[in-house]
Amino acid sequence: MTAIELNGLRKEYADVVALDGVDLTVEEGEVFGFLGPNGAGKSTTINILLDFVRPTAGSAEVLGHDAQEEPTAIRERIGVLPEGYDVYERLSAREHLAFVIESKDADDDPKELLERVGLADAIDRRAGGYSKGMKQRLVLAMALVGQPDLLVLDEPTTGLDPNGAREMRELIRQESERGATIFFSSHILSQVEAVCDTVGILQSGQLIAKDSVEGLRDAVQGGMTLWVTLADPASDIGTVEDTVSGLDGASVTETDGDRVAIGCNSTQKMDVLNALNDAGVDVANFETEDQSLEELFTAYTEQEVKA
Amino acid sequence: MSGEGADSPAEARFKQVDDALHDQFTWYPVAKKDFKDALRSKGLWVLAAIFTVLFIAPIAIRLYAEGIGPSPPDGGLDTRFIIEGVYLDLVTVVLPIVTIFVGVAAITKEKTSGSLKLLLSLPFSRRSVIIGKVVGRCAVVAVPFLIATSITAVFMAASDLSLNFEMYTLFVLFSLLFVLVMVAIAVSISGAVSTTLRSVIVNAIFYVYVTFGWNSMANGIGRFLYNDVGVSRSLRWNTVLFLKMASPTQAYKTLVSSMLASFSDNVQPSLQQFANQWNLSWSQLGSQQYSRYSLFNTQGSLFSPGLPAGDKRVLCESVAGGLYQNATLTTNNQTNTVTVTTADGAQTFQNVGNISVNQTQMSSFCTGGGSEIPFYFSDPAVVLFMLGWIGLAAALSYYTFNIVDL
Repeated sequence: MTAIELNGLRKEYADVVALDGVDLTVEEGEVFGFLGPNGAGKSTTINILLDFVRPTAGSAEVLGHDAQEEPTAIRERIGVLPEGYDVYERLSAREHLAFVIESKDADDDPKELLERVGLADAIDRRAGGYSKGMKQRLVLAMALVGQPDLLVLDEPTTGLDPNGAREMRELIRQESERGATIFFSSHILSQVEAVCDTVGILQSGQLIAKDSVEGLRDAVQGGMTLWVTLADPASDIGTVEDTVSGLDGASVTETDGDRVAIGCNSTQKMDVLNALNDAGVDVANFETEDQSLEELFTAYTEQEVKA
Repeated sequence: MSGEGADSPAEARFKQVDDALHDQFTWYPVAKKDFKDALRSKGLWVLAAIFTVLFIAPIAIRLYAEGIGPSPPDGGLDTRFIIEGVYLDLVTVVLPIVTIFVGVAAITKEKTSGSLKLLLSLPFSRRSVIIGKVVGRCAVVAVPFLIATSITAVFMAASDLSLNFEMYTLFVLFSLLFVLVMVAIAVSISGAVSTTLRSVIVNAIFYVYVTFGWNSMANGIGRFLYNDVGVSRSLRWNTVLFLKMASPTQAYKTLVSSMLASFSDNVQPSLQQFANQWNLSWSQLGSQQYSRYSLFNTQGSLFSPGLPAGDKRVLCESVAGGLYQNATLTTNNQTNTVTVTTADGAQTFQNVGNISVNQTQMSSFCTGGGSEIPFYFSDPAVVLFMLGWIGLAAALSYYTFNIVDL
């Protein structure tokens, strides 16, 4: 059975196409990373899954129910960490959870849930005084109520410190082991890479790739950016461009004053530097940068074009 | 949540009711949470205090400062006078302000903060959210209102005033219906707009219009239809009453005033007096008929002569379903008699007193004995008019909240 099934999903706002025919299947039990830059349409997709917005065309099915026809049947079985949420200022964490437990007819213990997200100390404090990270933990605890079959987490690590992000990953792992499907959206590559089995990449309202996380790693390792700082940029810049264009698979992607960015394969790094040296370019400094999300998208789009 | 093993019977009973409501209504947790949230703020208790002062102050001032004593204990006239003279206006002017205050941000606040997303991630339909909000916010107004009216009842019973418990209870119940209608409207407006400020503006316009502008609008439309379109008087006044009943405020006032009239035998004291004096077999209007008839300026006052006789006749007969009757009194100082001529014939009374002049005087009354009040103006219909506003609020919510993107 599939946890999420999107068919030709399209959403138009007044003058923008937010989603442009997205087809996607997330299998039950999968930890699915939904990757894309801000504005790609990730939140729109999630909002359609939760029936916060209605699609212009196409359909969305969650756990076998149509998202628009049976939203409450879906909400009974999912846990959600929405984007742009806020908690109820006057209610404590315990009261928040009691409310969710009552609403979902569950029998969880609020304290236990809060211990899992590391917020047990603040159980009886009003949520209005919580920090951003504490609110995030509280909402995560709310999402865990009733052992949901599907967890929908929209940018769950924003607002968390590195330690919090690590705990979040641990929690996702635990939930996955329990058998839950996890749908996790992020614009940060490393976070998706760290926890997900499968990754979907959304760009400008289109799903440009769906791949296993290994496939993603290959793509990531395949490319990097080499920043070279020139001692004498005025005379050398032309030589750099000529030299690099002579190397297969490498290219100058950007110049910034005395710095030149060279996109290349990670195994090529030394070849590029040697070639520059041979051509008489005076390299004052160099550093490497992992491939950015945008470059990853480019990699995938090019693959698609080639295929 | 409590560690104690055995709950008291009252707690067990409360839990039972709580569970039953939970099983029955999907919106119940939303309403409960909303009410709990309000309990946290001091607002609820401030509201109870304000209501209590507003209810007790007018009667306390009359009793103790102005020294106006209680009327004779005859079937709860005190209660009726206080409700009719003070509370009815108080409730229609103040309660909508309170319901707007309580309901204006019910949805907009959750929309703008984002907590609505948490709420709608739970197994609630949007309809349940709206209904839960309406019920919760109703409780936020109703609880302080009930506290205040209970304290007032105790005060009245302890003072020299006579308290007609049944009349008072009905007044409170009708007021709660009014609260429900006004909260439903305020919350649905809150669901329809994007920000609290907009909700405040729309709610304020609605309040001013309904509370202060509606009657002149109804009368204006009636005048226009009669003067410029040329409809009959009967259609004119039926339309005007219909429009008046369509206002939640007026509908509430009408329900309360016909309830109050139903407690008194002498609905129009002057009619009773006149009929007894001249031995006429005229009956009183029914309480519903009387309250509809007296909604218009049919009595005249110090500042206004009242409506022309032709309009009064139409209001009496075709709107209220009464019988408009004339009595002509002719006095004769030679024979020292008074002749009373009505539709039933003439009667002459001897030795009525010292009659010094010869004169003819005509009096008109709207009496019972005509048809009944038309069903569309009866109390059940007025209740339906009020429920119609809840329907309207539901429709507004459906088209502006249920089926739109958030």
